[in-house]
Amino acid sequence: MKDPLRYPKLRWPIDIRFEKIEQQQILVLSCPLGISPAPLGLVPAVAPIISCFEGQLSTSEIWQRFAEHGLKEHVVGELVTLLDKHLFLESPNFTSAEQLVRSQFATSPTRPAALAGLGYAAKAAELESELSSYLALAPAAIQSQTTKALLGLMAPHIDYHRGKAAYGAAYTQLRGANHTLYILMGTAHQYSPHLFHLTNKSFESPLGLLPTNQAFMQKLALEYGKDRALADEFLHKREHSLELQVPFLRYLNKGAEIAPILVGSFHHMLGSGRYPEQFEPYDAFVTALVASTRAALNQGASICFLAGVDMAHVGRSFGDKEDLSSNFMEAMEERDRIYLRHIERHDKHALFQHIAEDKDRRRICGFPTMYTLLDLLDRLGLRYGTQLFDYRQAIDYDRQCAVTFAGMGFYPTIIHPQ
Amino acid sequence: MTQELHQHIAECHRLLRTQGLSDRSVLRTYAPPSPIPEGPLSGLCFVVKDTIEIKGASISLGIAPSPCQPASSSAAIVSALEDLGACCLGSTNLDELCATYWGTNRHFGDMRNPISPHRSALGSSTGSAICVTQAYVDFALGTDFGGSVRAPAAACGIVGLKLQRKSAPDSGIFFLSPSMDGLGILCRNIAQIQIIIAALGLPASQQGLPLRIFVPHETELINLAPEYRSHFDSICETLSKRHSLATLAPTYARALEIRKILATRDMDAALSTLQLEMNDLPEAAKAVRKRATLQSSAEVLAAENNRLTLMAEVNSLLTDQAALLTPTLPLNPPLLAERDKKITPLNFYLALANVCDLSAISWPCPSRKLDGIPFSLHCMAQTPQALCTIASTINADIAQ
Repeated sequence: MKDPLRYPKLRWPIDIRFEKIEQQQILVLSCPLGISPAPLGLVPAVAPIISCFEGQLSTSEIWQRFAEHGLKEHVVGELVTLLDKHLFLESPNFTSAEQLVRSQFATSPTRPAALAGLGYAAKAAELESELSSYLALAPAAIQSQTTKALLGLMAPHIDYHRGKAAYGAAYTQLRGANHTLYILMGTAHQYSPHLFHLTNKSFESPLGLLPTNQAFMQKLALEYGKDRALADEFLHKREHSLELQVPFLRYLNKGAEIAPILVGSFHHMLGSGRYPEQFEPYDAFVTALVASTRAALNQGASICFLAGVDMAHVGRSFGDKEDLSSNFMEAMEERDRIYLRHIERHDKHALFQHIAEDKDRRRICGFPTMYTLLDLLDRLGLRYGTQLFDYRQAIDYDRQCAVTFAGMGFYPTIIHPQ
Repeated sequence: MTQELHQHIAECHRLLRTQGLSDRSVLRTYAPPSPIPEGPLSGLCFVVKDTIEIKGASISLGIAPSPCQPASSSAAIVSALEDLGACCLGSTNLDELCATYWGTNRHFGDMRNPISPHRSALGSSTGSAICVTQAYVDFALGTDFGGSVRAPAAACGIVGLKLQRKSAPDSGIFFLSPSMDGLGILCRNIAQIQIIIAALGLPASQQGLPLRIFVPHETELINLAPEYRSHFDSICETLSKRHSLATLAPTYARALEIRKILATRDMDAALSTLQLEMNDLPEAAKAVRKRATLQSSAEVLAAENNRLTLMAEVNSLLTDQAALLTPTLPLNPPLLAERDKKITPLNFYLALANVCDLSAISWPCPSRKLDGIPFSLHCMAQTPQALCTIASTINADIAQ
């Protein structure tokens, strides 16, 4: 076995991005799983060097590659030490830290709020006022039509700063809600060989603990298979797609519980051209979810289905070759509107074809969740109409990054408010 | 006219003694009165479920030997109806101790659904429902603790009305629950029920039009059989043109859960007063008694609290012009061979009226039949008269 500090290898997963801070470009390394406690900022010049950290080349071979550009040998060594110290290298240091973090999460009865103080206010009063200001952004017409009969909600999971209007428009529908259980589904952004990820942990938030319905989750895990349902429970630790829904739920309906579910990528299904229900893990999960939902409904639960999903991710930041432009974003909107229309028509197969036909060109991260939700509503025999509240594009031409998202409500076919 | 009434009563009496006793819907018959009492119900013949006392007879509660002493007087409702001119001609068969709802009885024989013999007639007021369906009598009385009048009425294609607990005299009736069990009336049409409740002086209707109709939340329609769903949807569509339709927040499953806990407590208490040996109890009653020992007082207290909340919610909706509308059953009564299969609770929409002590009516919709059994609608409102008006209005709207 090679000495990991002599043959350095970046561990996986790491988010690597360039950020401009006070007019200076910084290379930022961060851990999406939260094993490295804090991001690490480096000068951009080291990017070519760390790109050689693949475990094949020794530190001395790496130095030799860049020696003609004036790189000193001790700099490579210092870089290796720094990365290892911050847990970005595959090394015994990282392995033991990872084990510790994983076991701490596994034994914790709750999921700590990873974004409190970062993505939203950490103090209850401040967070309440923040959420209240977002809800006030909803157009009056949408605010006035709230109904206790709401069946489901599609909300974004982009940061509150960029998504506040869409969050506000969507969540205003939960004002006065008396649902007892939110089946909360969202994108699993990190890779896992498994498709669905459950957790029994309740979600902490500055507004108090949002309890997870233990009976529901246990039945679901049992019916789907406990091993595969909880194999990558750790992905919940830092996943923001569900976390960003939690403050709103806690704020608007204090008595409710959640059933948290992360949905992984359908990449291999899209590649095969076969619908997800033709794959055993998918079909078994939705079958189990239908059974658990039915049982909960028959026991008197008032259920609302909630999807924390974004849509397109385009621009050079996401790997596109061309620059963002207003024409390009108009074309994106046109495609997004078609995507939303398939949801409005409850047509999961058209949704699948839509993503497949341009080979997931727009990287719609919420597609697997929305497909699963449409399938679930269909298999439960629910009849519903939809209303699109808000569609938006958060475009950053400087960083060449654009994300699109929407808010949509799902209602019973008779929706006259009480 | 008097001769015609005499003939009618004699014919009812004959049918009960021949047909009723042989199809096991009837347990005992009583001699017609002579002369016929005069009153608004003069000449109308009725039978009672054998949980309702008739002077001189011991109610069986569906088991033999009877656990009860002979009654020194008839139940107050029977006397009231007789005072109005109606004739009580028999006591009817039921599920043992009203503990199940299949129309089965090991002591007195199982009962057959007269309109779809291979399907259950449901229960527990099965004998009463059969006597009305077969026109042995004009109407019948039953008791309804979770749909025991309305479910067999729907299964046998007739009208079943459950009354609020205190809206009719209730002494001399064996109730399984002091708060959820209620008296019920079974008739062949809504007009007959209107005549009976008017004669009994039950509160009159204040109903105006258009109605405000609350239908179940989408999540509480998922257990409906597809044909039932399609009937219900088309009825709602028709009604929405004339009335205001709104979705009720999920309510029925909550009621069913509350009833499960409180019914266990109440049935256990009621069964314990009968001083029967555990071995003499039907399996369903044994299960109830066993479940009661496992039920904690905290569970019961929580259910009572939930019940109060639910009552407040429902009562706030049920103004004079409002009603809760559902199908009576979520699916056709099961085939006899499939009775033991685990299915959706047949009283899914019915328990709410028991938990919240509401008047409720089930009535068949003309021209919508499945395997010979008409699709029945179910409605809850403030008063029995209001229910009859609403049911008639809805029937007229659907017929147009």
